[in-house]
Amino acid sequence: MVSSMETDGGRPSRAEAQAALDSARAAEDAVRYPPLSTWFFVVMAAVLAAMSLAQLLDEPRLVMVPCLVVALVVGSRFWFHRDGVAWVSVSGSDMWPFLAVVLGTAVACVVLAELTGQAWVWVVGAAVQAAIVLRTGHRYRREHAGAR
Amino acid sequence: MPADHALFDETIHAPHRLRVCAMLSAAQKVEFAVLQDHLDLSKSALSKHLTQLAEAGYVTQERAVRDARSRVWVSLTPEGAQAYRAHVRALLELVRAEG
Repeated sequence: MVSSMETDGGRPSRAEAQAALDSARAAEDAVRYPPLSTWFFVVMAAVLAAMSLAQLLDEPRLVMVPCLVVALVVGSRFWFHRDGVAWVSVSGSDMWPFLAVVLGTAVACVVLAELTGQAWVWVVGAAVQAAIVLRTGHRYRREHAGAR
Repeated sequence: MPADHALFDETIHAPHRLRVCAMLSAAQKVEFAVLQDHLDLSKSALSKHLTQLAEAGYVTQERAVRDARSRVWVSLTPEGAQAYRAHVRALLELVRAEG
């Protein structure tokens, strides 16, 4: 039942091929990007902000480790390893811009804090990272809230 | 088969089977009930499609019991994943060639 595109006589038209691709993309997205509640992004924003603010403490890891655990548990339970779907493969091209901005902000905070020695850098960093997550969540919910 | 090869596959191209493969390609495995719910198919109709895909060597099914409930998990085999990617590339080539 496999045929080469070069020799197959009964191949679909361009419109049919496009419709098939759209249908496949929608089906992939239904698994890859489930509808997520607002609170999911609020929790993730709070976790990231807490991890930035933890840098103001003498022992940041006392806050960072529990935050990482919360992020992993919530992310797994409601997205990557949720009921009925095991280990979603997220598209790198979709995730990298978000990760780059979040990690870039963290790196910028480290550099600025080292250069200036000012604690407020981490407060601004926490606010920026939380805002990025909430903005991403708003966009995600607009694009995928109705996905089945 | 080269990793970036485009190959039209009639077993996968049937609309419901294409969507099954698409869903399975986005995760390690997906529960039968999730596929059924999303595709809006009866159990027997979905089973028939899965049997055809399994006969082609593209999917496997495993039964697991959790919370005293029997669940069937479906996943793409490596051959199935490769065939699906090749089929999508074939469709993309078709769209681009005639575009």
